[in-house]
Amino acid sequence: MGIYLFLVCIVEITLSATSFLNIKNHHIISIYTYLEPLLIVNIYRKEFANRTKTLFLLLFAVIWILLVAVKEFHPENLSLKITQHFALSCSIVTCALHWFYLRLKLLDRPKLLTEGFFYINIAFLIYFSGTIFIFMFSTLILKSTSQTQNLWLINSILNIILNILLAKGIWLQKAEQTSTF
Amino acid sequence: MASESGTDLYLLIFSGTALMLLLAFVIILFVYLYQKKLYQQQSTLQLIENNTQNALLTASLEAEERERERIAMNLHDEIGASLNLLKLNLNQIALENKNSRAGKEISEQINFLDSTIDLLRNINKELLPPSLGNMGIIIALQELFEVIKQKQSIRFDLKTENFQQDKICPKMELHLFRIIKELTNNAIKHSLSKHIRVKFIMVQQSLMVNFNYDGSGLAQHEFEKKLLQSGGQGLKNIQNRINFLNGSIFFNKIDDQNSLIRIEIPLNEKDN
Repeated sequence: MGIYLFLVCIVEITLSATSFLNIKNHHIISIYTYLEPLLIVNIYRKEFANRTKTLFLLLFAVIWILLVAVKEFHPENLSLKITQHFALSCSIVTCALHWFYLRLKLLDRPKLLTEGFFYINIAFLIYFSGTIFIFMFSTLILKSTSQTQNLWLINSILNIILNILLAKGIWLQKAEQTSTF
Repeated sequence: MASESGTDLYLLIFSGTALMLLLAFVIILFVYLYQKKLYQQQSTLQLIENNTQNALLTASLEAEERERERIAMNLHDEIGASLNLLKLNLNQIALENKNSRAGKEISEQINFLDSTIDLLRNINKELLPPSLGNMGIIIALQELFEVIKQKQSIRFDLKTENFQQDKICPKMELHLFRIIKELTNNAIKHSLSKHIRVKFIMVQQSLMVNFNYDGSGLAQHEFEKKLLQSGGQGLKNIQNRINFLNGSIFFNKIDDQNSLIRIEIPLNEKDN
């Protein structure tokens, strides 16, 4: 989890710096798009701890890498880009909903609000369900600058919420580990 | 025309995003509230189940102790008194016929009667140690250890620290006595122990008993495993009595030659 947040931090800083210096940064975004879902899959793999679910997550990761790789060779293919974002968002939202389902089924966590992963799960659910439409269709209205800016503003707000919730989740998880020892 | 379709798409994305976020918030709220409700229901059910189990356990242990007491009283008052009366009568007859063959035979039968009376007394002590009610658990245990020492060469060390007899209620005393007796039997029988050390320590609102013995004993996970198995009634009784006293028991296998069992029981003021 810490690696994921560290990577997000590094990518955001690098992207801000490169855009400020007017340097092309699409390669950084490309690398990040490979790594992000793999890290998220790894986070959920630890939580689910089930062979079938792990295989499903691995399958998702493989499909994701294939989609990104195909997109690299056909950067102008919009339907491929839409499919890629849709697949990522749907898979992570499914993982988040499944985590909630497990909590209701197993009733193994007495207080969800003190549970670190609850916040991490909320973060992924809010961000990926909130940005599913933005990532899928924003490329279609790329020329309309003011409207696109508004949409990217929503994305930025959701990104801030995501990172705050992730930080809160990690903080609580660390406290849980400390109290266990 | 192109700008109009762009605005439509923008509105579609915007409303889609708003809808998805609303849905996510509703799901989160639902999961949080429903999980809380389900967990409370489960906790209540668990509490009811535990209370029922405790009530059943209490009733069965109390019935067992009452039955032991009743049998001990009957043996002492009815059979014991009759045997003593029979002994007195036979003594009288033996005195009257001390020079005859019949008198000698009666004297032999009196010896046999004496051993029967001793046997009855021992059974009575087993059922309800008389010193437990009058002298307290420490004296009762000393007597128990003395009886064992007469039969087997085992060394016992019984120590106390800050121990106050008046803080222990009779029920606790009785259950604790039975637990230590069972542990002693187990240590001798299964671990072939030759040295047993028992220490009572009173710390604030709890009583701790350290039961040390030489020989290979059980570790905590082995004890818990045995509780789930069909046999091991003695260990189950120990656990039931510990539960009855709201206490805890911990089995520690120090090494192949030393084992420790630690019992902790809360001292409840209202029990006294």
